[in-house]
Amino acid sequence: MTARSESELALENSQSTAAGLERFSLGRSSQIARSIRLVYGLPLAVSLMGIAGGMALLISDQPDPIATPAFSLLALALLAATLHVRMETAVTSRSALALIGLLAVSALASLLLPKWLYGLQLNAIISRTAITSPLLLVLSTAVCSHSLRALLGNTPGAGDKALYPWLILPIFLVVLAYGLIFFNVVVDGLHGLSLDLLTRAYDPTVVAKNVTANTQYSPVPGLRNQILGSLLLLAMSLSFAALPGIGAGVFMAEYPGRIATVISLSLQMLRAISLFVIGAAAYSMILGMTGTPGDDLTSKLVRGVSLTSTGLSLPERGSFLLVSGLVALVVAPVIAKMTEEGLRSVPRELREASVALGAGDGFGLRRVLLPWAGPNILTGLLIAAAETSASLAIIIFFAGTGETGVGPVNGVTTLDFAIFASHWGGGGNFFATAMNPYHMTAALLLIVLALGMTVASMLMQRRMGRRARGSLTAI
Amino acid sequence: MTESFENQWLRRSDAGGVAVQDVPAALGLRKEPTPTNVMETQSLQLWYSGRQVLKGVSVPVVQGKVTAIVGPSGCGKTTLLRSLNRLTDLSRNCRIEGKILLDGEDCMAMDPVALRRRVGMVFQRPNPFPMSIRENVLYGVRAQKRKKARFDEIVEASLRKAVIWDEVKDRLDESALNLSGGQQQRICIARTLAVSPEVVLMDEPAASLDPRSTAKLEESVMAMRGEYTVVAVTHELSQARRISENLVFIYEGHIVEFGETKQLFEDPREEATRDYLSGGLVTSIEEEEAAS
Ligand SMILES: Nc1ncnc2c1ncn2[C@@H]1O[C@H](COP(=O)(O)OP(=O)(O)OP(=O)(O)O)[C@@H](O)[C@H]1O
Ligand SMILES: [Mg+2]
Repeated sequence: MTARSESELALENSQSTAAGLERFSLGRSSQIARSIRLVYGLPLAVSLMGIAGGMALLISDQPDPIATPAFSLLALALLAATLHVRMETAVTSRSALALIGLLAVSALASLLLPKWLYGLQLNAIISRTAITSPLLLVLSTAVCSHSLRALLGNTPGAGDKALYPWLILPIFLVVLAYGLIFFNVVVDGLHGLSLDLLTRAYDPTVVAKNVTANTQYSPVPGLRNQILGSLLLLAMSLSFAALPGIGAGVFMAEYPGRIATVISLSLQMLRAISLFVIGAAAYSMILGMTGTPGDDLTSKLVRGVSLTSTGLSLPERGSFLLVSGLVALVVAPVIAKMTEEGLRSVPRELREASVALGAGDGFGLRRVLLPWAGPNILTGLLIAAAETSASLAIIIFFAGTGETGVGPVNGVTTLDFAIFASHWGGGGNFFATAMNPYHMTAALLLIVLALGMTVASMLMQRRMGRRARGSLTAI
Repeated sequence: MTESFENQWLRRSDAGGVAVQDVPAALGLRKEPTPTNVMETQSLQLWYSGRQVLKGVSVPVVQGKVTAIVGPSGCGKTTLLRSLNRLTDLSRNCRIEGKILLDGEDCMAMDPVALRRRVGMVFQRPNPFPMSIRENVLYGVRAQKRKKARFDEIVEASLRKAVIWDEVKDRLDESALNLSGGQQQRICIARTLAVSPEVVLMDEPAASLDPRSTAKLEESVMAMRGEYTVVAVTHELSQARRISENLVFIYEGHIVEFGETKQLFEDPREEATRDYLSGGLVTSIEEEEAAS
């Protein structure tokens, strides 16, 4: 293209546009248009820095030192780009001007704001960062979006892509919040982590060295039984919940009717009941049911027993058996729901193919329907597992310190109980004292457990999905 | 059931006092197997959610022959076919009246699974299971718990009958979903043949195939003549003419005409049939209805 035609094109563009910015880069090949677009790299870069700064300010609780310079810098960068465009094409974007105005006002306002805000209705002192950092985040994102729009010029997707900063910002914020929490857990958790802690069980019976007339105990901290306990509870709860859950799901999907509706409704209602209520109800029921603690079989199975070194069996508050049963009750509906959804997603063609080949219900279910629903069922199991390892609300009623070991009829103990009891009591003073330094370590272990489960099930899900569903060739 | 032609002929010649034994053979009648109706519907009526789709359909399905069902779209061909192996049971809004007989037995009184083991079906769209080719073919065999030892034989024989053996014999353990649409459809035929049903229902089996695959498919249907009884719905009249021996013409839930394909194409009794078979448009019935 010749130089003349380029300038003509640019002129044409500038004359024909009233709205301004959106159309000045119509001639994508022209150099003027490209320089106009490139000049927006400056505000884009500044706005990205502004977003990063805004996030950093969110975390700090000190009065910010950078708000006024940041707002000014953003305004200047945008102004420079806008002026450049005006010189080249004689078009000024109104939204850019509005944005510059807002930035200028914000810069001025943050200059005038006192460092600390107090009085008013607030019964506390907050730093001005509480106001300036969200403002900086929002305005930076606006500048970012505006510059992106201009940079992309008149490509068809520009309008959509310019929205990305607005979509990504909340995601960033959530990630930031998670990052903060995890950072805390990981740092504190790693601090207390040691092989000894993982392989030893908490033992309150170790006697301190200087034995006087009053025996002094110096409990040994350890998380082994809590780790094993979490895993055992997970395994037992899932195996109790899987069969009824899958069975109910199959029934609801394959035999719709009045009974299925009743089941579906009652499962939904079960889901809505707080775990706390279930735990409390079960606790009081069991107290009334079992007579003399430790004597009869029911009591032993339900409350759990622990053998002392002298062969005496002592009652616990609740056994793994009992608690995994309760947890199963709570998580089975999730598995049922996911199974039902999986079965409903089986293509009608496959169902009919199976039926038309003379397969009975059971055979079709085994060979076609359940494999197809497999990934969904796995998701259900994963959600159930997550709920199991986070079933503190039930655990609180029944758990102990796990000092006598882990097994189906032992007293239940888990990692989340360790987190709770080591900090807020519940396992007796000895436990709290001995374990207090390690409560974030227990949290870290729980996170690792959850992460491991998620990754494993994702891998399994992908394999199952590819094997059982493939992709029906569309023709 | 009406008396077979051969029997009628024999009776007549008996009455005439002719040397009975020699005459049918001399006339070439002995070579034709006695035509019997494996399946038969008797004034079959069917409603979907109260809307009548089949309005008294009586068709015979002759043993060892290919019967084609033709008719305009929406006239109830698929519905008729699906009622023959009671796949209509799967639709909860469906109601049936009238009789369907399989070897003289009432299908409605039969266990549906037992019925479907005797009456197989190939669908309009290829619907292989997400399994290997071998497992697809063996699905029905396993479902019906047939003898284990002959699995390999069954796989080869069925794939051969469906004219696909040469294309897949080296990749039996690959997923059937990796095959082309036409190949998938022939796998679906093979898996239906693997359980040797008495009757094979086919719903526009070539509807989604290209001309070459269609030719292969027609080849496999021709190969089934004599050994299997086939009922095939088709939209393509030329295809019906090529593959079928008997033809049923349905219009808006009624049987307009039934007969030998050749005879129907050459000299249909009904004007509507003539319209449809020559141009695919039926004017005469609508005119009649408008007149009445
Ligand atoms: N499951 C169903 N529920 C309600 N109505 C149905 C159902 N299946 C079919 N019908 C109706 O029954 C009528 C006949 O349908 P059918 O599928 O038998 O037609 P067809 O002759 O096979 O047509 P085509 O040649 O287009 O396949 C149609 O009007 C259709 O809307
Ligand atoms: Mg149809």
